[in-house]
Amino acid sequence: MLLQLTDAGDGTWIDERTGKRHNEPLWRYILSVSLSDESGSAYATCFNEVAEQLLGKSAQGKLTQCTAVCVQANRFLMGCPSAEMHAVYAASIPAGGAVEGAEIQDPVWNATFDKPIFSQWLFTLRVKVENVNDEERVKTSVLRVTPVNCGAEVDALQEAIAQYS
Amino acid sequence: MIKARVTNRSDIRTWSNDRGEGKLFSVDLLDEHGTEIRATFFRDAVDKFHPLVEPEGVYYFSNGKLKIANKKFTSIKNDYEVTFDDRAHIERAQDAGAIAKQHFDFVPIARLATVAPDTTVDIIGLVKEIGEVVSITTKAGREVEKRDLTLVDDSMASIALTLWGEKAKQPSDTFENAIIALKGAKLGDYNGRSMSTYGSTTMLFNPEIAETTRVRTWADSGAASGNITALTERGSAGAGSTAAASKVDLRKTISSIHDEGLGRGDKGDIITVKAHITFVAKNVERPPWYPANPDADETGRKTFKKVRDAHVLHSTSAWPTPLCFCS
Repeated sequence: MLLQLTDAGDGTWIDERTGKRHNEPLWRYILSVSLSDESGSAYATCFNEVAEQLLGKSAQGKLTQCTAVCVQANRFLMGCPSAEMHAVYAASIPAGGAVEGAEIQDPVWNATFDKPIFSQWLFTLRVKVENVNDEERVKTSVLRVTPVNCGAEVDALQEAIAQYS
Repeated sequence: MIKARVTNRSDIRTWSNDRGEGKLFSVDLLDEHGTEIRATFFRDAVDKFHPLVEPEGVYYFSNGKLKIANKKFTSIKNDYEVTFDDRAHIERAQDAGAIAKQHFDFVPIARLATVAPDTTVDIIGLVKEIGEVVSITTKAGREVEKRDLTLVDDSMASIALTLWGEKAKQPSDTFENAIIALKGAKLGDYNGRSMSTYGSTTMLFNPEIAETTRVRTWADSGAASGNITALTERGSAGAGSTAAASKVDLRKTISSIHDEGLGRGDKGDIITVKAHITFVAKNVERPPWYPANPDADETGRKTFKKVRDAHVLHSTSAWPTPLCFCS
């Protein structure tokens, strides 16, 4: 089932099972966010549709720009020779190269990706325990985000309270 | 003996299994105290009583058998139901108007977001969108008509409603700007939340009840074009939303993920939390996008599998030309 593309080395991406080549992969978001409620917090992964919803429609114009930033960032990380980009990212990357936990520091980037911080949603999550190197890890991904409907929340709360009596 | 109004009469259905075959129909009965009960007629009683007990008629019913109700298939709030065979005694009664035409227990559409799927509920709402009648073939090979509508109500929420069979075949203009009351419709979790009709569901157009007036007044005030929350997602048939739609919307807290040891099943657990985003990762080593396969897989569905091979990232030629980075 898994359709993996592999770099063919000649500028194309190849599906090794079918031998079909692609000039370009499809770029999709994979956003890792921290979710908090009154009981605690957890990391969750948002894929493309959800990430687009969180970053907002007003970010659409910026998105192309941001994708370019992202692509460049990746280039840089993988040893891109561009001096300009190096200068921009130099601030983000400590001497000695990207170390684990280092954060990207860029105004365009932050304006786009920090936008959903402190916004509240209903998150429908898939929680699954997976074994990674004989170690159990709880993987949480966001399947759907829904705006909070205050009326419905109040109704649900009233119902929950009624069940106590 | 009970004196009751027939608020709904189902079509005659036949069954056939290992133990034989037969036919049945059921009626929903309402008495003057507002109590409801479902009554089902089997075999010989079907031919005898189906023409006799007409919808909206008031009758005296006796000589039935009580049994525990199967609540999965009915919204009727009664722990029991009645079955009648051909020894039942049914007689038309004087309709003095003491018994209401219909008894509804409407749930505001917005609240359906927090009701468990597969619950049978009553709703009322304004028809906002009307789909065409389409004929589809069921898994059993039977052809059946369906029509999709969108209903909206004064809880400022909308939901998709699928009508099946005869209900779908009503002419399109009967739905135009109509207020529809549904009794005993099924709440599903397709694309979030959606409603569909059973054969036993009662559908009324602009019924003469207070709720119709309330929804109509609300709609006439222009509020229906306001900020409506859609409980049913449309057109996003991505792998994620389909998977989500097939699961129960189970409200939990974040700590329950750990406290209840969720996620140990084959397919994991699906839960819903109300939460704030407190942080978006900006790890330099792991940018928030990935190169996905643009093609559909053999099932015809788009696949967006992550390209795992690390060395593909070293490729330069397939990446877009760098743009000016100054913003």
